Amino acid sequence: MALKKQDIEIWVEEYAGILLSYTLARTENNATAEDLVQETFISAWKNRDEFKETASVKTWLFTICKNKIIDYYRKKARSPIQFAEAGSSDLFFDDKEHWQKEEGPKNWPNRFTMPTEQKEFNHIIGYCKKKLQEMQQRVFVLKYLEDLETEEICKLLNISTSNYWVLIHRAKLQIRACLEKNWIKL
Amino acid sequence: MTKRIKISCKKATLLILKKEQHAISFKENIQLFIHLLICDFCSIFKKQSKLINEKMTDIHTQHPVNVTETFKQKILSSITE
Repeated sequence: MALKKQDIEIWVEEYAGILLSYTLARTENNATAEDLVQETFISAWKNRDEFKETASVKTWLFTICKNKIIDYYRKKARSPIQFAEAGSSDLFFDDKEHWQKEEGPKNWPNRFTMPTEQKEFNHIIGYCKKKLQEMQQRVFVLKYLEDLETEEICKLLNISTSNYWVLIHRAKLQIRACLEKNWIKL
Repeated sequence: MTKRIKISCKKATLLILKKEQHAISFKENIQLFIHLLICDFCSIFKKQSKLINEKMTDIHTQHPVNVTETFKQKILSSITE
């Protein structure tokens, strides 16, 4: 199928918004998120011959976009970064490594499993994610949003498996605490 | 014996995450099982961790954000014939 420039115009009109919300959830700032969406459309246009009419445009654009995000993290991993110092998870535990009484997880009301809460959750998870250290944030996004395998993430970010577990552990502890404080508001 | 079976909450929370990703050993699984029998905090953590994972997956079906005309034009102008 020969795609025309008008087709791309329609795609931008229809899918730029949803792609942008996808990249916003996975990157640290608006400018990066917008760049990735722009690059997605550029790639789609350049590789338009590969697009099959029978395929869904949306799925195709999302596949390209997902690869752009992974590339983005791969490039970032090449630049040196301070590795997370010890300590951030120790806030939650006492010297015997059991929960500090006031930091221990509290029961959340059942209404928080309702679908209506999703929009608010998306908003707050964005806020909580920004509070993580950079490396924790990367691991968290690649695992819980991109759903990559552990080995893939380690390779991509150039970290060992034990580093991976330290990072994901701290990230999850902090995200949980942040949600309890800002979303659940017990 | 008990020393080998008893684990801290810090370790237990890590094992909960490992179990979610099927990266837990047989011994660790037993340690975790026993810990969860006696620790309310970690049992709640386990439930909430699962809920967070489910909610994270649902982000995929999130609603589009508003896109400005300027941004749309920027995309289109970067696409050349």
